[in-house]
Amino acid sequence: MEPLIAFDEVGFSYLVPYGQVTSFKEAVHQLFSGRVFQRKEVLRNIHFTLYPGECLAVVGRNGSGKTTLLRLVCGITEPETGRIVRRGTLAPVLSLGAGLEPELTGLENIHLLSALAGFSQEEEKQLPARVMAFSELSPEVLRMQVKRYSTGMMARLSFALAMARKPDLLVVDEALAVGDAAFQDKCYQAIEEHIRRGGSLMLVSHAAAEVKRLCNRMLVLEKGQIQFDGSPDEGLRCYQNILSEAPF
Amino acid sequence: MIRLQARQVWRLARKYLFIRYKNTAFGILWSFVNPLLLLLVFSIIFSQAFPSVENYKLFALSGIVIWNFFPGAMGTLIQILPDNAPVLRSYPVAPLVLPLAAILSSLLHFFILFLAFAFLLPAFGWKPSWTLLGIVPGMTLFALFTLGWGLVLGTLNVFFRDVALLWNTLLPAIFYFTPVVFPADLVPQGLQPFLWANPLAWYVLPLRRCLVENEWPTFAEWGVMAILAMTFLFAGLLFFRKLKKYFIAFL
Repeated sequence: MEPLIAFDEVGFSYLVPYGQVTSFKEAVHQLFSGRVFQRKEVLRNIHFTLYPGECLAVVGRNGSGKTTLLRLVCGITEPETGRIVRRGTLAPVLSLGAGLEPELTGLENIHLLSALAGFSQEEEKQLPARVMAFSELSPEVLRMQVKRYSTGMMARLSFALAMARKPDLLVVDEALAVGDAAFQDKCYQAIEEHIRRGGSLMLVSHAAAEVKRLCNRMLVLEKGQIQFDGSPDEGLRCYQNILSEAPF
Repeated sequence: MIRLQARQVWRLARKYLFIRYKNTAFGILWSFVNPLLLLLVFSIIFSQAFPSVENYKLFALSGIVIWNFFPGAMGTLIQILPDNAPVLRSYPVAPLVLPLAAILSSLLHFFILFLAFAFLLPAFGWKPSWTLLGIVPGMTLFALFTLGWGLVLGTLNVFFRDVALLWNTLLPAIFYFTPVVFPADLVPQGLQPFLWANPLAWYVLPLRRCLVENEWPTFAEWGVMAILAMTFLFAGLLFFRKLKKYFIAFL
């Protein structure tokens, strides 16, 4: 079986402003000393493969590189060193509501975002019906401008769009915290349904119960490196140890 | 891949075109008010100042209509990356798609506006002719030139937001430095080289002649317009490509 995602010694660093500039004098001084930006390493030596049917939870402290890892998986950023191989279709749910244009109607947004998310033209045609079915937003609501939507309605629209593609790999970044309980429940049902169909999952989460319910494998990230790769139960213990021993 | 990106550009360009006048009561009329108001000011101040210009109102208005494309498109291009930070952070979209969509929507907006002005210009003594068609390739080259500049400044603006502020400060100076509302031959001999060192003059002057004086741009002028557009576009693309991997950390 061929892997959906294969990371080969991937490294990534950001360029960030050098320190905090608080005055104009400092800014000028920095500009002339040539120390405007510095490199900050986010991920180092990331090596793992994800096979179809695997449901991978990614845990780690704030700033350990979880979101960057997901962005690399989705192809939103390119790795600096190493190589990433991707196969199959992928649906990113990195932040619900991102990219929605408030001035356009729900329906118009569906078409806009389907292009941005990389859906094919054939897929786009089937979208409105599927989104309507999943999101339980009525046709009247979908013809309304998105700025009149509640946060929960926007979340519904976004998540429905991602799920409508029936992707091979679903990538979710702590995005499901919004929306009411009924919607969250529906999201979990949809993810479970996706898993039953044989789909794979990559999930960033801090909720142990959620991770145990959905995932069969876990990565623990610490300081940009994979600290642990294995079963969720052991992974959670490992994560607890990291949290307790090293002060933030 | 290219087909998908073309679709992304088209969808975004349509969006920008569409939301420009959303929620305004007078819609596209606003795009008339600005040039006409400028015209009013300039014709009050300058109509006696340039006796060499036969029909100053038409001269100034056509110049302003062509010029207005530039600050409008540049303003969008400079802000397009910060404005779309959530999109760049959450979707696997090539960043270049955004400026391409912005310039396409600006160009389409220009042509729509221009069609509307074509009905207004005869009131100022304008007689249309076939040379009008020169506006289409001419403005397209102007748009490519603008895109090149916009890619450079838009990229810089990701790292230093001062760029957008600096640009807004410089813009009025650039306007008066370009022969939009005054005839080019008014510039003293000694300063003429500076006038022609301004690439914008190479677009505004031939395109206005093409519009108002029913004269096709010369072969040399087409050449300069094309070379300027290609040079700046190439430089802009190179610059953008080199730095795009750092965008996400700064947006």
